[in-house]
Order: sequence, then C-alpha cells, then structure tokens
Amino acid sequence: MDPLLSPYELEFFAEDEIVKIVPNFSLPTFSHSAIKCIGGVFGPFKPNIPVEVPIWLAVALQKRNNCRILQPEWLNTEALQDALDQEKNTAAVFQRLPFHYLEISKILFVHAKEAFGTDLLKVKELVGDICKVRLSKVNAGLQVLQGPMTVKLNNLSAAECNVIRPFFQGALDRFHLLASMETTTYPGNDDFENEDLNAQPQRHMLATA
Amino acid sequence: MAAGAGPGSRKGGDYYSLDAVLAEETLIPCIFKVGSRGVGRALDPSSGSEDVKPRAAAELPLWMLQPLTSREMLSVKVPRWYGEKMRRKIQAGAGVENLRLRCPYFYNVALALHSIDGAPSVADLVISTFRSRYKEILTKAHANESAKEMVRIEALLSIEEAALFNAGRASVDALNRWRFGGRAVPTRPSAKRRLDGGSVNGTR
Repeated sequence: MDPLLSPYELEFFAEDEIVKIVPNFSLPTFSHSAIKCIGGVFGPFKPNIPVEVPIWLAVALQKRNNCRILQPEWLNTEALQDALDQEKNTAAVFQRLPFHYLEISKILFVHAKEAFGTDLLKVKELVGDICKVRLSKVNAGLQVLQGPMTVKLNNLSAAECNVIRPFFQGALDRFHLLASMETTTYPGNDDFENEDLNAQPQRHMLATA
Repeated sequence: MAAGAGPGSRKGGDYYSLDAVLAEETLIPCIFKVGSRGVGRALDPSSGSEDVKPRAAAELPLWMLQPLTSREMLSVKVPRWYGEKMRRKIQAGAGVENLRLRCPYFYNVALALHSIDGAPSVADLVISTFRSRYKEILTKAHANESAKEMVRIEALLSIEEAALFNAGRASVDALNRWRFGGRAVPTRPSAKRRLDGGSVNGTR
C-alpha cells in the first residue's frame, strides 16, 4: 500500500540510462557487431571504438573485464563544480542534471572507479554537496506553501521527487481538506456536499442501536 | 496508514480509518435543550440522577452530536481547545503549542464539527493554525535536525500532523540509508564550514 518507491527501486530504473563504454572485444559482423535486446539494439561493439549502452549492460561487461566505462560529461570535476556554483547562486531554479543523477553516480562510483582516476573522491564529494544544496533548496521551497495551490518544480531529480512526495502530498491534502471547510459555504458546492454525507456509512447509528 | 487524509475523509475520516474512529471519541461540551430519561449515568457515571434535565451541560462524544443536533436536542459549545484563549496562543506562536495535549485529533475534530449543522465552526482558527505550524515545525521533517530535537517536535504534534511529519522523515531516512549504505550520515567538518560560509547565501 505504500505509494513510495524505495531508493533501491529508483536505482534499478536508473540502470536504463545510457553511458559510453569502450569495449575491448568484437562481435561477429553478421549481426552487425550489435546486441539485439527488448529495449533496443546496442552496438556495434568493436575494440577501442566507444559505444553507447545502458548502464546495466555496461556494468555486466565491466564485470567480465570486457569494457571500460567512460566518465559521463556531466560527471567530472569541472562540470560538477560549475553545477554546484550555479546551484548555490540561483536560489529559485534547479540546475539541469540527469533525472537519475544520484543513482547513476552511485552505480558508477561502485562499478567504474577507474573512470574517475584520482578525481574519484573529489567527484563523490561534489555530488554529495550538490545533493545537499538541492535538498535544502527543496526544503526552503516547501516552507512557502500556504494553502492548496500548484507548485512548479522544474528539473527536480527522481530521488528528490521521491523524498518530498509523502510529506508534500500529505500537506497538500491536509491544506485542501481544511480549505474545503471555508468553501462549503458557497452555494455551488451544496449538492456535492449533501451527496457526500449521505454516501457515508452510518457506523455509529448501528453501534448505538 | 496514509500520511494525509484520503478523498473519503470529508467527515473527519473514512469508514475504515482507525484514526477516524478514535477522533470521534473526543468529548465535546454540549447543553441539552430537552431532558431525557434514564441516560444520566450512561453519559456521566458521576451524575447524581438517572435523568438528564433540560439545559444540563454534559460532555458527549463527537459521534453522538450529529443525530442529536439534527433532532434539536442539543446545542454544541465550542470546545476549550478552539476557544478564545487558544486563539491568542496560536497567534502568539503556533509552533510551541502542544496540540497532542489539547486535542490529539485537533484537525479531524474541527472538520467533523464543521459538518454538523448547528455546531460552531472553527474553520478560520484551524486553518491558520495548520498554516503557521506547517511553516514553523512540520517542514523540519526534512531538515537535518538532531534526534533529540525531532523527539521534542513530535511530542507537540497532533496525530494528523505526526503522521505527516513521520512520513517526511521516513523518506529522507530511506534516501540516506541508500546513499550511505546503512551507516549514519557522515559529517565532514570542512564541508560544513564551507556550506555555512557567506558565499552561499540563499541556499539555506
């Protein structure tokens, strides 16, 4: 019944994101050196020629020492430092990062350590800082909520959506419920109200009888 | 149990919700417009007589109000936790008020009272209470507060607020457990200084 996706499930979804790898093997040419999967055709796999594949495939190949995962463009120190600075300087907007940026970086930090070389710790730290800044921004945004209203949240990532969902939804529901007390005095709502009350099972009438 | 109230909870909770049942047990002060015979001790065991006289004051559970007010047998008074004193306290600082102590189902009782014909409405007070408490303490569910502070806050919350608060905390905890693999959130003093520094104004 819990509507919340766990972060582990999000990590699973993130495995469909595309990364670049450099294979060190080749597939036979009669299949165009490619792999046909339900999700699409990936390839061609030729030694030392970079190719784009989903993360699950990249990780599987990496585990067999059949490829080298390349560092994504957004996941290097300069790009992240840039994103972090932008994130700090603009309080109102979120930076455009991959929807699953936390999940992708977590997977790559485990399975593609070599891609980052000596930057690994620095990149890890930057991703952590960006996440921290964004979450505190989300929290500041939640504090302005004053009633049942629509809120625009662009460029929010999957993990961040997932974090605010139960609280945000519950708060909006509660605001809506309380605001309905004020609006019931409008004549237009009366019919709806009466219907609703009649539809309620009369529990305590039975209990007292 | 869901964090918020579902669409069926217009009358203070839906049929299968345990919280809705418990909320309806709340005692509301009422005055009998007509006398009734033989129920005095059932309503109040310390009552002197078996009969209830007209204009007698009694505290009745919420679920009894609707049938009795619709028959013009009762007039409902404003419970003290929605009273004038409470209104002043809420205006002074909603965030420090202990709603759990006053009325554990502060909001659902107000919603139920609102739907009873002839009962006084406390809509404006309840809405402004939730609005300021949401801003002052509920949004701390996502903040990185100490466990002690969290316990202190949770003790102040009404049941409805606590459900919301705990849902928010659970999702943050789940994210942190996933990110740091079940360990406590690591603290780096260096990063902390940097984030608190003057160059990052606007992010807090």
